[in-house]
Amino acid sequence: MNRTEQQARNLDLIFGAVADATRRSILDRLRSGTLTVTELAKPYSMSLNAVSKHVKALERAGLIRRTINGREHSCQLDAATFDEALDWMSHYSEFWSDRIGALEKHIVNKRKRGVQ
Amino acid sequence: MNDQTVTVRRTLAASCEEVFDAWLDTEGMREWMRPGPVTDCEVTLEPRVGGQIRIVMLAPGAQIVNTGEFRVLERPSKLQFTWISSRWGNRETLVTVELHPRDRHCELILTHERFPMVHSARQLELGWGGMLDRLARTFSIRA
Repeated sequence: MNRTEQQARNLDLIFGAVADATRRSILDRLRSGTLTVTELAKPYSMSLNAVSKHVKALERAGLIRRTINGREHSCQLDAATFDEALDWMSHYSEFWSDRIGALEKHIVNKRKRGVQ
Repeated sequence: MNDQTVTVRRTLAASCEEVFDAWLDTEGMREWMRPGPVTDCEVTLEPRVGGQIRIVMLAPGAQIVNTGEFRVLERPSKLQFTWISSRWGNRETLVTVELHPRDRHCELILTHERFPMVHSARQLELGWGGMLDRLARTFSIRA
């Protein structure tokens, strides 16, 4: 498989994985930290096996990582891309918010100086 | 598909014309386009659709070069320009500023969108749905 085919395949996996409401809900819950498959399964009215299949789909898409310790399977978000996006958003929300504050101050000062 | 969007809303004690003109006033922008550690700012603009924007922010030991191009200039209601910053790997992003008159004040809604890069598998992963959308909404600022 060449690079482009690999990327297209990754994209299919990712979109396939997030197309399902349960899997989106799993991703959301993993935002606050690592959970075992058993813990993940609790709120859903489906078998552990069914939840485990959802986890596998997310794992194949590279969205989560699973570590196995004896019988315990722990899941966590693969956070690298997520963190970078978060940095960008927090930087620019602060940047624009401050700039617009400064813009208002600038207009007010300009009026005071009588330059309309 | 825009999974990463920052929105800032603020009602300003100014007319929409004053606010719009401030975005094209290079001298004025040297004052207000100056984040925290930035000591000086050089602004050059060609105020027309397709015109270039260049804002160089100078901080001690660092220089951030922001460039872009005007896409929409509709006085006094809307400006849109691309924004490419050396601070974030020179990726093209899009800034839209909408201005609405509100009882002698001006409501400003700024939206900054970032796009997943088609050629990077890592960036492709950023296209994974509503999660980042929700995050972006968490960062929306209402004042």
